[in-house]
Amino acid sequence: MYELEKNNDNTMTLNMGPHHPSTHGVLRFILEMDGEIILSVKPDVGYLHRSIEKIGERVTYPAFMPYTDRVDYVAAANCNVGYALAVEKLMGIETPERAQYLRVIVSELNRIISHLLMTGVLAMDLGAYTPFLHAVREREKINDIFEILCGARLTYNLATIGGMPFDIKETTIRKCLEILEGLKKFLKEFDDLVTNNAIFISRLANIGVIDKETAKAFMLSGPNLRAAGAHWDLRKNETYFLYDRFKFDIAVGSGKAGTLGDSYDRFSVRMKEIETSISILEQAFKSLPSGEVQAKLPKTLKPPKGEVYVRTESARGELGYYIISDGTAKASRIKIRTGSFAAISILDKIGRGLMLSDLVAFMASLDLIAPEIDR
Amino acid sequence: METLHTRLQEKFPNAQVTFANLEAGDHYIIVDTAHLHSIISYLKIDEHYTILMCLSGAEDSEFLQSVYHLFSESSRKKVTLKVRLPKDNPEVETIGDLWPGAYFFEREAYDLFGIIYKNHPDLRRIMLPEDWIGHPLRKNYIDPIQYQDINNERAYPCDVPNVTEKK
Amino acid sequence: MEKRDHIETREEYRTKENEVQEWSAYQKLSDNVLFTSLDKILNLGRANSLWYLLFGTACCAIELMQTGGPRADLDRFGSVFRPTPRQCDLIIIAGTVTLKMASRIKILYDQMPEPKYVISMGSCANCGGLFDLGYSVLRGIDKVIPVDVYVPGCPPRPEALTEGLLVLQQKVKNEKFLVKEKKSI
Repeated sequence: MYELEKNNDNTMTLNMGPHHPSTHGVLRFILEMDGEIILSVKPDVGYLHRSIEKIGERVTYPAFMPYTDRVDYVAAANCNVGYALAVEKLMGIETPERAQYLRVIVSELNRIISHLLMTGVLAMDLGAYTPFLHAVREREKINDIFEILCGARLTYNLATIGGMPFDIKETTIRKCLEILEGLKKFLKEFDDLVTNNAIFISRLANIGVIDKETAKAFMLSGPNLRAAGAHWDLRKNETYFLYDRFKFDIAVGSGKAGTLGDSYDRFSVRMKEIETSISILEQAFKSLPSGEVQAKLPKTLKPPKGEVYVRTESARGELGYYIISDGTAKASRIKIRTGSFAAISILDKIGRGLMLSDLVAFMASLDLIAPEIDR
Repeated sequence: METLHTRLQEKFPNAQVTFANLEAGDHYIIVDTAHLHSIISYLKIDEHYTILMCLSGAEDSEFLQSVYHLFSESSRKKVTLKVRLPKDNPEVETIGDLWPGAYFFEREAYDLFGIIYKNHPDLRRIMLPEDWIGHPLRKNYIDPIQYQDINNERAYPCDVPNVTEKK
Repeated sequence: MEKRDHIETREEYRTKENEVQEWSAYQKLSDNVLFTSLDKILNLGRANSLWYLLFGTACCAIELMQTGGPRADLDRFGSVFRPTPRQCDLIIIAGTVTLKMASRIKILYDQMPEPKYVISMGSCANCGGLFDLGYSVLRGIDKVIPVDVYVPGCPPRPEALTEGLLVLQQKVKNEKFLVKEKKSI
């Protein structure tokens, strides 16, 4: 995995990946090192470039839905509903209220399990295997809920254009609330084990500090931007799916362990977001309206000529769909703008001067996922 | 957005700035290639469109396009800018000096569409390997069935009409 | 051994005593002594310690991680992950393989010591799956390296992957390494 190569001027080129022992998918970094200090980081991505955007031009609008799962398989539901929203905006379809609530529910559930995986994997990248097992144990329980809802554990394909293909039952809601109660207990346990752990804090605090202006210049979004101190959440600032009906606070980095915008802030913002999602879910279950879940649509979907850029808040930041329609049943162009792709460009800027072992912590705290970078 | 369009026309009288109104979705402004960089820096500094949401390549019937989605945090407004580039020589100024994050998006547009961004410090392929032939998101792209020594033929013929393969 | 109701002579009594002693010795040894062929005993060891490479390419990698997690628990079949290919018997190709990645997987496979096994996990690794329509995806990992077990699904559940591992264990148990293969002319 690691190839060493000596350059003339006492620096060393270290080749990290594409098979990297951490779990972010296949990424490769070409590092220029002076001893343990990193001089430059060159990310080499594209090992998972699956031509999703080209396939979007080859299949019809509803048939593209399963592919959106694979854009970000850790938060597949967020990608599904984002795509459905984009096509609905292009066609001018009104989604029923209950379907919108269901979309809020699935995206928040998915956000929880995505952040759980991230926190577990971050701990694993730092060398602690136990927190990962705890996080996966909790993740499995919510996977079960998804299995009840749509039949799949990971790649859900759970939205249709104009609504949702399923309805939620009273028993599922009860089971869901039970799991959320258990999750709250787990979060306390996780705080004792990981969040307040002295080793964990010293590995993350003051590492990879990104300030607000740099974050905006490098097009960071989502939790990474919020950790830098920006009060920016698309759920609140650019409301979609009736998110305006729920009360929640935007989790922002506080710099309590070190500097504002360091790796620990990015971790703690995600931990706070899990709590936020739990509270949104409880409100949504309480006020779930009755009614239809699917709007009536023609058999073949042919959006009018035009284009649309719709962005939603995925677990890894802004997920934008840029769709150009030429009036036929197939899109002329689908561009997917993802949070991880923007985040990978900042590695060189911030990574310079870090130690090698800190780069792994920094990278894990950005929550990079290879398929989102490559698509 | 129409008022922004008239402001742009006043500010840049030499540039061709056209406003496109479509049946559905967002409207966009088509900008002259030569004036793109100055218009975008004007939008960023004077009009406070401080966020670059997305940068992408696209293709319509005759031209390649480079598309910029800007967003203003203070006024909560979005604007879409497009430049049209000829297919045989698609060249446009980079905007990476305004948003360093754009460099990677430009590399992607270069890789998949072959749009050349002038003054880009590191314009290489990003998704596909260096020895890949062609720019796959162009409409007339032909899928390869052989890459290096790997024979990548289908076991069954493909029945999707707009897939073209090399034979 | 047959049971007898009553003992008639002293000699008979003695033989009975011997038999009882033999029987108890057999009982004690039966937990510790195994009569088998060398092939079988080697295969038993190999089948129950299939160490897999910690390597995932796409969506299936998450299911692979969850299979190694506490609920499905692949460890109970003696299968644990190793971070280097030089210590592995098994590589699980978990997910889509692109043309850019294919040559790297070949290198990883070549680095593994013999005997080595391959599980192809998920539709993408089996045949290209959903991404058959794309231009950059390899249509089946078997175009690059030989495959022992194919696990269908997109992605396969942890139970399916466990079943795949059990099938591979069956295959390993039935192999004969010490018998020379007859060369076909």
